[in-house]
Amino acid sequence: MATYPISIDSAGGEYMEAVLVIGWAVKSGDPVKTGDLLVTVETAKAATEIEADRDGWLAEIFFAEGQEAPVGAVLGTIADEKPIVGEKPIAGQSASIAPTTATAAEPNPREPVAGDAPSSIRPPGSRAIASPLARRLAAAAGLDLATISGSGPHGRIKKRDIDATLAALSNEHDGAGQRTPAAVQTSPVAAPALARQTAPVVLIHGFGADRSVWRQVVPLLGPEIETISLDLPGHGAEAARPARSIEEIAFLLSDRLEEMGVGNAHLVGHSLGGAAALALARLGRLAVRSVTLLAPGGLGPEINAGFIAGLARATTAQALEQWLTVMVGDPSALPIGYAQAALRQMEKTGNRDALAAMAESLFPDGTQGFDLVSALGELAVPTRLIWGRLDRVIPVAHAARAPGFTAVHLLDGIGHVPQIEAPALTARLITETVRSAG
Amino acid sequence: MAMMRYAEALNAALREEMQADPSVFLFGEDIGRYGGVFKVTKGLMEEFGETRVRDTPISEQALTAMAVTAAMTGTRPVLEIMYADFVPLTLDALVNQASIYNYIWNGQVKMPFVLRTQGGGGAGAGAQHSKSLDSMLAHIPGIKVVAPSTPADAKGMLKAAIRDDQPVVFLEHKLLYNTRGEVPEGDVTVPLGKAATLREGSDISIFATSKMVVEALKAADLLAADGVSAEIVDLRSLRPLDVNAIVASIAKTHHAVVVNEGWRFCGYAAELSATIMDHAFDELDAPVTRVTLPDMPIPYSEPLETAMLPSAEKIRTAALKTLK
Repeated sequence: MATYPISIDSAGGEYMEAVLVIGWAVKSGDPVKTGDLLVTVETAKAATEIEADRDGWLAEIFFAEGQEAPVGAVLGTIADEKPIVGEKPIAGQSASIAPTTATAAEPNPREPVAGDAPSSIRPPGSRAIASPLARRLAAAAGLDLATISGSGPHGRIKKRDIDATLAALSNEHDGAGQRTPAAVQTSPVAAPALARQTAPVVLIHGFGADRSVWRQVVPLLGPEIETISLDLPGHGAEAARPARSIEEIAFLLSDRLEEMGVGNAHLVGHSLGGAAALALARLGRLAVRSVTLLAPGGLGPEINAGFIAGLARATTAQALEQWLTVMVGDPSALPIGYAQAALRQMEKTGNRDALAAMAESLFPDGTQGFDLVSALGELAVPTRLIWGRLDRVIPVAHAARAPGFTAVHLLDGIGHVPQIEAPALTARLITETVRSAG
Repeated sequence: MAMMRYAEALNAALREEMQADPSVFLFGEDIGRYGGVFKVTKGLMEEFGETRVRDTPISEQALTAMAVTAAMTGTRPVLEIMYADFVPLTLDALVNQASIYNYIWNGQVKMPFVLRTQGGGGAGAGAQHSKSLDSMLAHIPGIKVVAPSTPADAKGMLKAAIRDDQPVVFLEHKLLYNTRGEVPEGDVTVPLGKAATLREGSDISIFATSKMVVEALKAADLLAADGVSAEIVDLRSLRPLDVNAIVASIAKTHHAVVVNEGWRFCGYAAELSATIMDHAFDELDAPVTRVTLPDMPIPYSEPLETAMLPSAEKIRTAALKTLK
């Protein structure tokens, strides 16, 4: 049996908040025809009659006579088959939608109280309505939105509902109030280690690469340095989850670090990852100790659009190699088999689409669609900028936009990827930045 | 710091820039002998003479073309268009000349002029003298559009606008001219392209422009009494827009109200809403709410005009609705 909502979308102006149900013209289980009067509601100005928009049977009534319903609320449903009288539409929902009666049994504390009920209703079969923030928080905590009642307008699930659900779960699981997320997505790179004592170096790769781009540099860093290499959204292990803006990338990286218990970190970012590091620092959720940027994005509009498009489009190792050659000052610096390995990664289901989608939204019309010069200027920690003088992807001239406190290193004979072309020097400069932060 | 009226702060900025740079000159209708209908240019003709402060005939179209050519040939003109309602007469020079010459001549020309004008309702000036055409102007790439809300910003941003090599449309508001505030003394500029957070808050971000900033600050007081902590961000630079400041505020409050005195449809508030969704969608816990003028002419009748204009009370209502 399919059911269709009966609702009043707008009543008497945009600041009107609620309507009063004056009377239902039909009873639950009665047949209705398109155009039949179903229910009369009162708005600030007048009584409004709501008519059936289809033939069927009145299935459920969520707001009885004399009750107030928020504008946009579902007042009841029409079914396409004759409902069995007395059938409860959906366990758990019917209890919360029944009109209040004086003889109600002991209320279940998990059910919304009758007065709040209207806004938490979702017609059966419809998708959960949740704010983008609530959706993101629920995904991070492994919560199923279908199990959560929304307290916002139209029954929308908001952050407060997620918070309340997590609090309830935490009380349920153990008295100490510690919460174990049901299905936290963890990066395969680093095991979650809650409450880290020291600040790790977080390495963020560039567009079209993945965390393995750091493998030559990591062993050359100072012995005391702990590293976490993250995959950007839409890349590597995160290929299934592309991002459309630099801010979204920053949010997702921030969420991942939070899950790992990383509260403070040294940031190292290359190219798009450099832009992501700046956006992450700007978010302010993470205590950033130092920043090392390798040919970062976000310091000017220019970018080699052909390179970005070619990288996202290449389907053969030969084609990909052509573009990878553009990345480096000296093509022999590319490790043997790099193109084949990169291509294998791209061939995995969805990776190419994710890359192409990200290229389109991050670099619209061949320009960098984000400006992080001010984010760089706002940093109050040791900051180092490393750029190859032969960079053919992002112009080295962008380095001139760095504020005066930034140490700028321009490398002769090096192209866009110092970490591959000059791993020892890159490792030394990262180590020096980290140590200078104390 | 000195306590100044908004109009006096503008006058000080013009005087200082004219003293510092002989290529700065002013022209417009009734700006010389009469000192401007809002007295912004009062005393400047006496001080700088009739060559650098010029009264002109009534032809906004000719005046704006004159600003374009004067700017291209090495001066820094400041043109006053008496009412923003007359801006449509200037549009050919803005859309087909000022905004694109640098581009079509491969950067060989600079276009350092300022077009000052004032708009806004609330003064009973009727349908032809009360409009806010910010959206129409901010729509044009190649032109900066700024709208300071405080005397300090009025002075600092006008100085920065005069020194800018791009055309800058400088939007004032007739009800701001008499507002008073502290203004830093001496040669202090306020960079174009930066928003100002005038009040910190944790529950909801209210982004406003021009005189609506004053209304938003009043709304924040009303909301405080409702138990709501509102953050007020003054979008004093309409274009370029300080997206970073907007995102940072929403990342904190997760709720946004955008306020602009222009019309709703295709308006600046719509642009702000879309920008927020582009850059901070996953931080939103509720849809962005717009507070704007309804899509109608502005009535002369005071009760009708009051009913139409965005106000502190309407901003408060919108904020409470957004937080539901």
